[in-house]
Amino acid sequence: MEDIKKAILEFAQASKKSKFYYNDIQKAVQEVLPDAKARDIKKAATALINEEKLIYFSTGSSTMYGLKGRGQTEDH
Amino acid sequence: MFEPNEEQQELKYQELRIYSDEELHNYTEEELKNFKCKHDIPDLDELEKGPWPSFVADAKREALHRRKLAQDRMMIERDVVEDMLGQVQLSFDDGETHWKHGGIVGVFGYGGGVIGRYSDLQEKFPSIAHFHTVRINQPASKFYNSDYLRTVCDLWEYRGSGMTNMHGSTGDIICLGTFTEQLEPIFYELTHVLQQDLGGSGSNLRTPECCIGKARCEYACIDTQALCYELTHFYQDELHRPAFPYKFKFKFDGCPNGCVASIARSDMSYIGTWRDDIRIDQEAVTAYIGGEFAPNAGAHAGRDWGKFDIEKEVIGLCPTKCMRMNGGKLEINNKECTRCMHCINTMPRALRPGTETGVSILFGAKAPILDGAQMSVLTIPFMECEHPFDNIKEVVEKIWEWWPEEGKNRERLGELIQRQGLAKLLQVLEIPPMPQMVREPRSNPYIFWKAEDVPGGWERDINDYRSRHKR
Amino acid sequence: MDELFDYFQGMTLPAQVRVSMACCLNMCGAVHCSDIALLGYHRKPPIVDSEVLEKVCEIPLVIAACPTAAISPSKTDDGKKTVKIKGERCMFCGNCYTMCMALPLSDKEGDCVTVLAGGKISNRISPPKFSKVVIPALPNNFPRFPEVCESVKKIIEAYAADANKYERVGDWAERIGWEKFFEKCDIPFTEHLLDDYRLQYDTYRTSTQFKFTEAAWDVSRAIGGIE
Ligand code: HEM
Ligand code: HEM
Ligand code: SF4
Ligand code: SF4
Ligand code: SF4
Repeated sequence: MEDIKKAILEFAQASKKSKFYYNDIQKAVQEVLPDAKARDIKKAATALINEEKLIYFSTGSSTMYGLKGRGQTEDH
Repeated sequence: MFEPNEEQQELKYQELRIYSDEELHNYTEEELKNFKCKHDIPDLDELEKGPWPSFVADAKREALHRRKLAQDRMMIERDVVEDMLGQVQLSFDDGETHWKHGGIVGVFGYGGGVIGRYSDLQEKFPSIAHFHTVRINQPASKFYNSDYLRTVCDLWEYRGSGMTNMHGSTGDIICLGTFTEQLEPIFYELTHVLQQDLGGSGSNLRTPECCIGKARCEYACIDTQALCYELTHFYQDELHRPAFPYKFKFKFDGCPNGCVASIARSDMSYIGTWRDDIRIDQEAVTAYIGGEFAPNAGAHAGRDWGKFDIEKEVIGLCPTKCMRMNGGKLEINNKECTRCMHCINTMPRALRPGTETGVSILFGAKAPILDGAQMSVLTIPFMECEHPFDNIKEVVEKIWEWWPEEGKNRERLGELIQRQGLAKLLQVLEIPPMPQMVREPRSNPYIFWKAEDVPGGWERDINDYRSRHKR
Repeated sequence: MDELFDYFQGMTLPAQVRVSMACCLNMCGAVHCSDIALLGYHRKPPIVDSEVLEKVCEIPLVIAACPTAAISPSKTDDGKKTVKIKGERCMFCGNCYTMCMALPLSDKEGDCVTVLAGGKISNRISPPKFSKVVIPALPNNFPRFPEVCESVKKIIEAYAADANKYERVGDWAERIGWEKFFEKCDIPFTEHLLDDYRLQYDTYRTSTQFKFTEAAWDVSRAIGGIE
């Protein structure tokens, strides 16, 4: 679990983008940790949300993940 | 017998209420007549004139009500309704909307349920600078008692605009208009005190929705409410913590009449059906013929269509022509019937769906965004449908192992089926193909054969070939 | 609803007529399968707000969002990254705006109401079907949309007068032929009603079974087939 969380954060920090689709997170994690199961990656992402390291970004119709404190994250 | 999945407290408005009776009934009809919105809204006033009840009239009542409440009895500005009306008028004048592109709002730990909305004229309309929409997951078939509704309305008056939309096409109760800082308290109140949940929005399972089903409708072949309730609870994590490429909708119709339009609006459409014979009450058939019962439950009463003619109106319109009158008795060749519901709808006291009921499952409907609208494809002809619906959950799990894995970002299930082919869906579900899945067989022979389909595979030796055929 | 009020009270129609409305292509309520559907639609490509685009949007996501590949990367004169839009490829779906607030589409004259007809959801007698576009654009005339109301009334009145008992609008149109639908409803059949999207060919008629209406004679005259 911890290594998945680390892989997610590393992916997010290394990326030039400020928000990501869940799919891309999953792919990136599975590149580093080929054995990671989809369900565990989702649980890790949820845990990071709960730890306030990641945030959800929602357009109303689709949802993405973002790194807390980066990009378009405040009310505007 | 219905058993809730978790213990339910009884909500009592008298204990939960925020406003006194005096506060709720704080204006007279006289004051309403003289009410003027603080913005000039001539086009909206015009909308009140027709015979149909107008949202403008309702909004004005609410605006007046808020004007007369003490400001400390409302957590957001009292003018929110008047500013909303003012902005709508301005949008009419400009022919362009004044809502900004949404932003990131939400409640902690949830990926959806709140849709961020901001005015782009915040100086002119400060009370709707934020105007977020909160979706509340409706109970199956939308049954409420008034204690609950009054409590929600009080809460929304106190922490929001007081304006609601019962219901959005998603099925949810839509609470229209509040500020960001109110979201967490609203969420706490809804979940902890009222034991409710937010609805879905974003890339996740959307609020499941069902028709009225066995609660009121004699056509219901399955208990749509039980199925909707069970799957809503069972897949709560999928509702709130998005990990899907895009949205995913379940909708449940009790019969092929399709009152929640599952076939047009859901990625996975459940439609009740039966596999035995239509039940016939011959005496009632005779009564319809004799004019004792009005056909189609009286729905043609407004015009004289002449005497009911069973040959023309039922037997002749049966799409499969599988019915006939024989010696004063109605006969149905049930093997040929496609269960279209016409005869049952027309003579509900005489005909009823069979008793061996279950569900047909179809996949892939979506609205036009992006590649054009699609309806769901008949894939599973019949499945028993009894609590706790384990057989159905297994189907769901198979789909959710495939689509999130293979689907591109913002690709709906129906688009993935198009891209990878219906045959792929069948592999995923581990079911064989059947002719019922197509309207007609394909007319082109461009089949993507695979090496393993062909005897001997694709590996061939050119020298061997040339040993038989000269260059 | 005000204009159709009598029909709500009367039970005089051959079958139910579901009129639905969606303000955008997201089509929140099964609009694409309604007897009569009113759909808000844009007709001008997005305006590019290059001033902020680079800051508030992910350019690759915006480009990927466009189903017709109308959007490509670009630079402003002062070197800011932005996008440009090929107007003739745009189908006005608004998907790019969903992904990027710097590409607004709305416009007083551009935005219009598209009228569709003949859809249904119920499996009764005939299978569910999509609504078909019958009027490509009517003006957005707030607050009462007189042109839209008039057209809807025309369709409903023609249907009420001519359809058989139990027949939905779409079943009626298919029985009499869509050419008769346009004739009886007194709606012009215009160039925009010919499908020009992918899979367009599926909607073309490949048969000599048709009925003669004024629209058919117009074609014969135009090609010199008749006087
Ligand atoms: C401030 C005003 C509003 C905003 C910003 C707004 C925004 C949205 C958005 C972003 C969606 C798409 C969400 C999705 O993909 O599911 C949506 C869906 C929807 N909205 Fe609204 N909306 C507003 C007002 C309304 C009102 C007034 C109504 C009804 C009278 C309404 C009814 C619906 C319905 C029925 C859906 C359907 C969704 C579905 O079936 O997926 N909305 N809205
Ligand atoms: C006692 C309860 C109900 C009964 C017996 C009932 C019956 C029917 C029947 C017979 C049809 C098919 C009619 C036809 O195609 O000629 C139908 C269609 C439909 N009903 Fe209901 N209904 C009930 C409740 C509801 C409710 C509560 C709603 C929604 C508010 C609803 C929405 C619809 C819709 C959207 C259709 C599809 C219309 C279409 O084909 O476009 N129904 N219903
Ligand atoms: S879908 Fe069928 S069972 Fe459900 S309410 Fe409609 S008519 Fe009744
Ligand atoms: S349900 Fe439809 S197909 Fe079956 S007998 Fe009745 S009218 Fe015919
Ligand atoms: S509106 Fe649609 S078609 Fe036009 S540029 Fe945007 S995404 Fe492309």
